[in-house]
Amino acid sequence: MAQFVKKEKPQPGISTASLPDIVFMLLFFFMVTTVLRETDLLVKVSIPPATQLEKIENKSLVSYIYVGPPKDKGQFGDEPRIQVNDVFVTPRDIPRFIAQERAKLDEALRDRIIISMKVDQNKKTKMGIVIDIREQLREVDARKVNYATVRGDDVAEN
Amino acid sequence: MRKKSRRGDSQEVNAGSMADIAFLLLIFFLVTTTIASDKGLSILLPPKREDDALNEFKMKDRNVYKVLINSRNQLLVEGDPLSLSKLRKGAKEFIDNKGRDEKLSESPLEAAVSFKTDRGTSYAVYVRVLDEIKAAYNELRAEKLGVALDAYLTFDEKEALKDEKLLRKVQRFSQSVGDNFSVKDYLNFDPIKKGQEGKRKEVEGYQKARASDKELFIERYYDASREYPLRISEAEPTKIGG
Repeated sequence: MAQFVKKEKPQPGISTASLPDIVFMLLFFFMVTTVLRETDLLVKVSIPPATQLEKIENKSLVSYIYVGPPKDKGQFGDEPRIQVNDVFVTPRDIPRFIAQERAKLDEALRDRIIISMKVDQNKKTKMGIVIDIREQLREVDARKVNYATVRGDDVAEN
Repeated sequence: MRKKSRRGDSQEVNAGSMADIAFLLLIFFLVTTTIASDKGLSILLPPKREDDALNEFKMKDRNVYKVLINSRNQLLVEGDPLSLSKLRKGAKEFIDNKGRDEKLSESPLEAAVSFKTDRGTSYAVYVRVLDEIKAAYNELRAEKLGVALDAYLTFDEKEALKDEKLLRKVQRFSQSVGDNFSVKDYLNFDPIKKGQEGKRKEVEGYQKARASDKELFIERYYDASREYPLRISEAEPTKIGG
């Protein structure tokens, strides 16, 4: 009878030898796709949804303007503010910012600068501030504007 | 005996902690990464205002589709209140009227959408209205091409520009005219406009090149954009009222 006694076999564990390989693969993927944030956002920006999106073809031409309520309410209040680079600005500073951004570009490409406006969709963000920026952009002839949006399915009805 | 057997093989580095190290790095990149999303609604602002010159556009009233949004985010289209969900249909009818209805536009080439917001309009509503107007144009173009709107929007232009057949056509066009044209020149070539300018030779060369091979989707894609040119103008902000 002895030969029929089943030996309790230890369950073979899943080999984790390939785990480092998998993790490395993921790691390389993220290292390649990652773009380190250049600016520290001082404003809260939640981008509105839209359906008719266009891709910006030439990313090197893009300069960003952020508009939204400041993150630090205690210091800056909660009225929407404009941020370029790392600072808050008023609409009057926009022409100088555009001049700086243009100077970074190749001479032949300077007319083709694209301004990407990342504006918060919160109800407190009104068109007034956007219109002010727009008027300044017209002054310095930076007329290609892209309102950043995320892909949203058919936006809910009002 | 033990000592002897060990001699010779080198001590291997313990790779057990490799996964931990990799995980640490992975988590770092996961946290810091922002997937770049440079997508949005593009618009070309009107040129700088000249105070001395009267550079107002003289357009027939019937060719302008007037959209106003007030500070309470209500829509006024052509003098009547309209809900946002009906804007797309209204704009499409207006643009694609082709002279049928006297109140609507004469032709898609003439039609323009004038779009005015109040300082108190919320930005989210502005984006949605702009989105609807763009959708009207895109739907018209997609219908012209006989494809669904989604297919129109996801059409990969960059890839299509590399098409060999297209390049061959452009070459043929350049040769017949005796000038060097880029792919974009070829696609943006407007035979009607050039005909009016009296460039007969170019038009003939273009038509020959177009007919030389099966019609490509990208050619029709550009035709459709030409037929329904995107003309959205944002009206000047007024100083008083809104």
